Amino acid sequence: MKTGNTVTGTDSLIEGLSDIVGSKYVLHKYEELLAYDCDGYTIHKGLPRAVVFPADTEEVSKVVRLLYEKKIPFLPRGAGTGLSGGAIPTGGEVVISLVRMNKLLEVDYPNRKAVVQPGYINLKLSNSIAHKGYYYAPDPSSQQACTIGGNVAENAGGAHCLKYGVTTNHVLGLELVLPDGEIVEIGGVTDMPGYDLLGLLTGSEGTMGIVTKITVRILKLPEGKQTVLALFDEVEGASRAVSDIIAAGILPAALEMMDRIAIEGVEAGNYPVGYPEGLAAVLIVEVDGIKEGLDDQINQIIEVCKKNGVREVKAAQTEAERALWWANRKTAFGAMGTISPDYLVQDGVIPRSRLPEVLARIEEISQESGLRIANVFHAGDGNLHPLILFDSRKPGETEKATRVGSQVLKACTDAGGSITGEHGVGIEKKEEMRYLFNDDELQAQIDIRSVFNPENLCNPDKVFPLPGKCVEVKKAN
Amino acid sequence: MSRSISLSVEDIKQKLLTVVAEEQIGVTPEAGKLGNSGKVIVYPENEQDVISVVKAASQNQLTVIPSGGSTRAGFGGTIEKADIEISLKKMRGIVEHSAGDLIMTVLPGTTLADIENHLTEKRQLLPLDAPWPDQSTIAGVIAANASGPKRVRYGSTRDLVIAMRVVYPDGTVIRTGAKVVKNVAGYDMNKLFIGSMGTLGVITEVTLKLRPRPLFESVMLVHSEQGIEPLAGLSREVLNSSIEPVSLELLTATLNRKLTGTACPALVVSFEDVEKSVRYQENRVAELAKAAGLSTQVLPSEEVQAWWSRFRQLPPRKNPEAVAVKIGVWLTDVATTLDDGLRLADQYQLEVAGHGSGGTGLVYFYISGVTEERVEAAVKWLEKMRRTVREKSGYAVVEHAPLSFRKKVDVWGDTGPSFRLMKGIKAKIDPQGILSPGRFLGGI
Ligand SMILES: Cc1cc2nc3c(=O)[nH]c(=O)nc-3n(C[C@H](O)[C@H](O)[C@H](O)COP(=O)(O)OP(=O)(O)OC[C@H]3O[C@@H](n4cnc5c(N)ncnc54)[C@H](O)[C@@H]3O)c2cc1C
Repeated sequence: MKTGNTVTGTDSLIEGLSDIVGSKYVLHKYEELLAYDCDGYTIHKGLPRAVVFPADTEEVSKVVRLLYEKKIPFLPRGAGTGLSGGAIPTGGEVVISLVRMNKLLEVDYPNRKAVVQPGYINLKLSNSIAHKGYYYAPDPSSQQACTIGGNVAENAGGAHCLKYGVTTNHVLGLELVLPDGEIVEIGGVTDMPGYDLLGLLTGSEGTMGIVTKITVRILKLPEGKQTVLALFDEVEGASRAVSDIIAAGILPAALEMMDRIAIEGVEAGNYPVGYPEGLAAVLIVEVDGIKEGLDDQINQIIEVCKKNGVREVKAAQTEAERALWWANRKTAFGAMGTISPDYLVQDGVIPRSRLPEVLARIEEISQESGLRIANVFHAGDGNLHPLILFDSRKPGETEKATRVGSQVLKACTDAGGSITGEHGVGIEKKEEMRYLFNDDELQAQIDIRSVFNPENLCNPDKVFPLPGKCVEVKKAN
Repeated sequence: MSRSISLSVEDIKQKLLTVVAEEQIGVTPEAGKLGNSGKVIVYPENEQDVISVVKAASQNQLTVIPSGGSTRAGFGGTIEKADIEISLKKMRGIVEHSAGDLIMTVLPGTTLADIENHLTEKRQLLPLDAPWPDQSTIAGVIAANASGPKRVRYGSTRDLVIAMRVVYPDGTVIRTGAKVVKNVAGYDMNKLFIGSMGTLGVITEVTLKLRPRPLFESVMLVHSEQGIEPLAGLSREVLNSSIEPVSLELLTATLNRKLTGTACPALVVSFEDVEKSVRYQENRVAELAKAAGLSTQVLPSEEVQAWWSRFRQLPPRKNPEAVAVKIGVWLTDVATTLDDGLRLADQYQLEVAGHGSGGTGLVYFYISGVTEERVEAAVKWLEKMRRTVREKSGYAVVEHAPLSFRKKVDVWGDTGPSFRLMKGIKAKIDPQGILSPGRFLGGI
């Protein structure tokens, strides 16, 4: 049972899948499968043995039941924008794509909730409810493409999560197809009695089952919103400004930072702001809420920036100006493609107060390795996105980039942080889980997985480092 | 999952003496009417003590109930005494407050009041207004998933706990989460223990997310002479506007009388922000209220603290003749649920006060005067209430009742479709079933 097409019994599998979803919705030819050999994490690749596109929960359940009976591993896939390889087959898994399940099922304004199918695209939700003055808070930069099912699986965050929280703070209920095909409903009204399975499932990276319906909380758009742009000649000053803003008692809706190389990238991208030459750091600070209180906060923020040696600082005068700053920032990852053939995004988190020291360490790692590292990140919550620039055509450079990524994560955990703030562990950071957790702690998590996914057929070989598996085997015997 | 042998108090004491000092052990004099104590009570001073006690219990198949301030002794469970009560009271204090990172780490027995006092000086806030702050310990609040009216704006423990240390029933210590405000490494194991009523592990350390302390706060009361519905309407309008209330709590007439002396239903709208913004929002709510023919009153600033502190003392804590019920419904069903509660109270001649949040859908009822003779009526009230809220996809859980009441009725109610998974989790973590046996949903 190794790679897709040579497996014995594949024909009967394809037949079985086609019987459930219709042959039109089963891919199994080599050329078709190629599009599913990776997600947003392109360093690792693996072919699925088939890709199926169920139309509804029933079909998902039937597909899963069939695979469960045949003991064939499978994995759920949304838009495939994941950055840690969560949707990449590692052993010829059948990919269950949720893209056909892309409907907004219900919006209930008085109860502030919306029900969506897993393949529904994040941004569409906010767009569909904006006319009533509502929005869905988690706003990953990939929100034009990523699915809410994928967001739940990764517990996705975004620029505005500093004030409003990440996906887990906004999910009210789930419908889940368990790895044996059973359909269960989880959550509902506030504090449903029992263990918080909802909280456990959110961020479980598709290893506990397939989410087929999601109830999310929707929020009223804030009355006012103001954005400040601050340009610094030194990273130190920008970092200190971040801390001082928080210390001043302000909780910005977003607090984003980009360093010199990141600025070079975004300015070469599709939405250049026209930043002046020679900047070391750009800060974007957004506050929102009741209009009456915002001016004071903006003035305070400007004062703080001035105290920390800002070169230039200003509040957005028009919505167009604000939108441009954000478009420039939100497309930062892609923009790196204009200044480097390849890039690897990391996702470490550090206590905000350790920012200057960790940035300095990252700079050191960059110097030692000879690979340039751009930093564009959610500074307010200490979630770094070092972008390691490399050229996969140069022999050994991909491996070097991976190594550098791991060193960066070590620097984050050495500072008391985490290896991932929003992109998940997937394949990429399995080994780095050891920077955070000991064997007992990994085993405790694997034990929980085994309650949902006892045969480990659903997205196997993700999240946990391999030796953790050995422990599991030992225990089982 | 139950054990066959039953040890005497002396035997249990002897077993514990091999791992902790004599002065850390006490014997519970008599069975309280609330139950959930232990034949022997032990006061660990540090995590190592907890590990030793739990290990000893596990090796001897002794049952263990962890406790904090015992404000929730009447919540769940049908046993008078487990073999051992592990009181975390002495593990109290702030381990680290990293003001710049807006996080703090505390020991499990630290009370909410300890935390609040510490943070006030530093102009920060743990936005968790659970009841009985002077008694409630942080680990207890987490285990019971307690929250207050300000949850509308600030969320609850599941939004605030970022890391923990937990001792498993076999003595293994696991760390959950990480001490940073954003983290998705591995499963979010913090969530497992929130609201788990001490059935999965003993929490020995907690790291929490903080907020800057708001510069100004206010409480506004809206009274209605025409029943609760106009208030519910106002609450919906506020929610549907850009006003950002911290709480939107509806009070039954019976509760309002207790709190303000006015015997009509009320809506408590509160704000926390800079003064300008608070005043502006008060005005907007006053306009909306006026249009609906409702009168508003803003409490003088110096009374705001006292108001909340009284509110936080509403739920019964030790009273063996009181029953408290927590109900969850969708937001638009809160007012009718409050009405239903009072109507049934009349029917069964019970003294019932209630409040419910138009912003979270949580409704609380407190039934007083539940003497032995009145237990039957209270049980009937609960059963009827359950039926009503079930139709609205809601639930009703008894958060406080004497043991005698809890033996008569399943305080948790329906187990729901995912119960198999919950049982699986319990069996994985506590295969011997020694931790808080039977205290949780479905007899977990
Ligand atoms: C340019 C760019 C910017 C990004 N910015 C951000 C950001 O700001 N914040 C952020 O958090 N992330 C960001 N991401 C990462 C990514 O977009 C998110 O992780 C997103 O949630 C993935 O959604 P998806 O639909 O693409 O999921 P996929 O990539 O298809 O899958 C991701 C994981 O979820 C599982 N999964 C998918 N659907 C389901 C389901 N229905 N049930 C169970 N499991 C499922 C998969 O098995 C896989 O493990 C960015 C990615 C890119 C490419």
